Amino acid sequence: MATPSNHSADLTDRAQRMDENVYQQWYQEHARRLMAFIQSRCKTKADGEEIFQEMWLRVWKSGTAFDGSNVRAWLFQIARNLIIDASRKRRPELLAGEVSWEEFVVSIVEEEDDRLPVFRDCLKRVGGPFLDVIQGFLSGKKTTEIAVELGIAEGTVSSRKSRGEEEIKQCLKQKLQ
Amino acid sequence: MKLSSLTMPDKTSDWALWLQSQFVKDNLIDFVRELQVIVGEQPASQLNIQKLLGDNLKRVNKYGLSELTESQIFVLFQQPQLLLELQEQVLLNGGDWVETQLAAVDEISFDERWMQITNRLKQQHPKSTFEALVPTVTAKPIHHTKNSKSSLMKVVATLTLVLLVGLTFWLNQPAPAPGWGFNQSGLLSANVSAPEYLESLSQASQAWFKKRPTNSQELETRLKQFRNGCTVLLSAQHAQLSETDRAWLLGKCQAWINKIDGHLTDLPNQEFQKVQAEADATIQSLSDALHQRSLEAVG
Repeated sequence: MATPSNHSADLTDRAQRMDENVYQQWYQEHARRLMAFIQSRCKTKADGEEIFQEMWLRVWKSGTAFDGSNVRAWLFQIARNLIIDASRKRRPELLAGEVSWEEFVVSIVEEEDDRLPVFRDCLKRVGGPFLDVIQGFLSGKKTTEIAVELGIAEGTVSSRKSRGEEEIKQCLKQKLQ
Repeated sequence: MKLSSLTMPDKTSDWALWLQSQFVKDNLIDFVRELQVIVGEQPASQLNIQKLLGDNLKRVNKYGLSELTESQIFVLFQQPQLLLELQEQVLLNGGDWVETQLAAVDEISFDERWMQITNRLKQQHPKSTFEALVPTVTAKPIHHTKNSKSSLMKVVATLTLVLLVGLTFWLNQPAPAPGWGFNQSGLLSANVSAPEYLESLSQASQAWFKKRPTNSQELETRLKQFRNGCTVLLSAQHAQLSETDRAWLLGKCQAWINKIDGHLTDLPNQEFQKVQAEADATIQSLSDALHQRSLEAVG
């Protein structure tokens, strides 16, 4: 009976001559994780789908270069390279020269999203008192602590939060109509 | 426009599981941007996931985000970019819970994508003989090519292998126990309100206490049967629930499966009574959580 280690060695050996079965097995084992990873680093779903397909085409071409250590890590590295390449085509000014993956992730987070200015406006409109409460919760403060800090009753903390959320929803709806 | 930050549960104790459901969606980056707007500019930090989680990262990878402490979650929300680093870590190194979570949000068939990729490859490499994906939920029609005879033989051989593997797996499973726990007939398809549904799940879990195992083997079988019920819950639609409640339930379900796996691992090495007591506590706690949620859910 094949043990996990010799099963893996067999797979590695077969990978060096990249056959369809190994390729299919890699796809079945890792495609979902890779898709989640790629989609959450791309501007649009369509970009993500394209990079996902391109990635698997690249894997087919370079499968024999796999060194046999960790298939998933190798596949993720191919995905990272393609994500950076795709982004470079769109924003050459931001990504001229070499860029590390970490720097790249920072740059895509900072990239202005169409929704953000609207969200920022609505937050501003709803006002500071709501923001104080939300920031308090996100930093791990309990309702009582926030109440003491802001000098308001505990019930007011909860009502500010729910009223603020409702107002933001309304504001977004209004602005995007 | 839907903002992820406005769908966050009110209770901080539910944040880890909610976050886990966000990790497999395609808009985590939007949530990170929203958080940055809310928390404002933060001082530059050298913190990374390894430093923040330390040894806990192994547990998170193995069992899921329910292993994060509240204080770690608060730091993640104050430095939202770390969420992306953590997501990458768990997608790369996370255990079976990641697959389970991903299966719940699978929108476009991976079979369909496979066909698209292999069609492109066939155009570039006409000699290649890719098959449709076999072990998937939805069977795809098999398209015969020029090599139809050998393709057919391969498909028959593969299907035979799949059937044999499936049969072996089935024979090694604990005896199916229809009618108890979450396998109770009609439980998941009941046309009821969200509070009633959650309460019925809570009641169904109490069936655990109706039959008491008297030795390790019986306890193992019973635990595996209960675990099967949790797996059924994970793959069900839960149309009775809101998106938030559904995300809560799926997250909890995964945490319960992890706990049950822990009891099953302990069983050969610990006294049967001790493991049974711990399993009782786990199931009572999940039953209580469902009951509590039923009181809070909006019908």
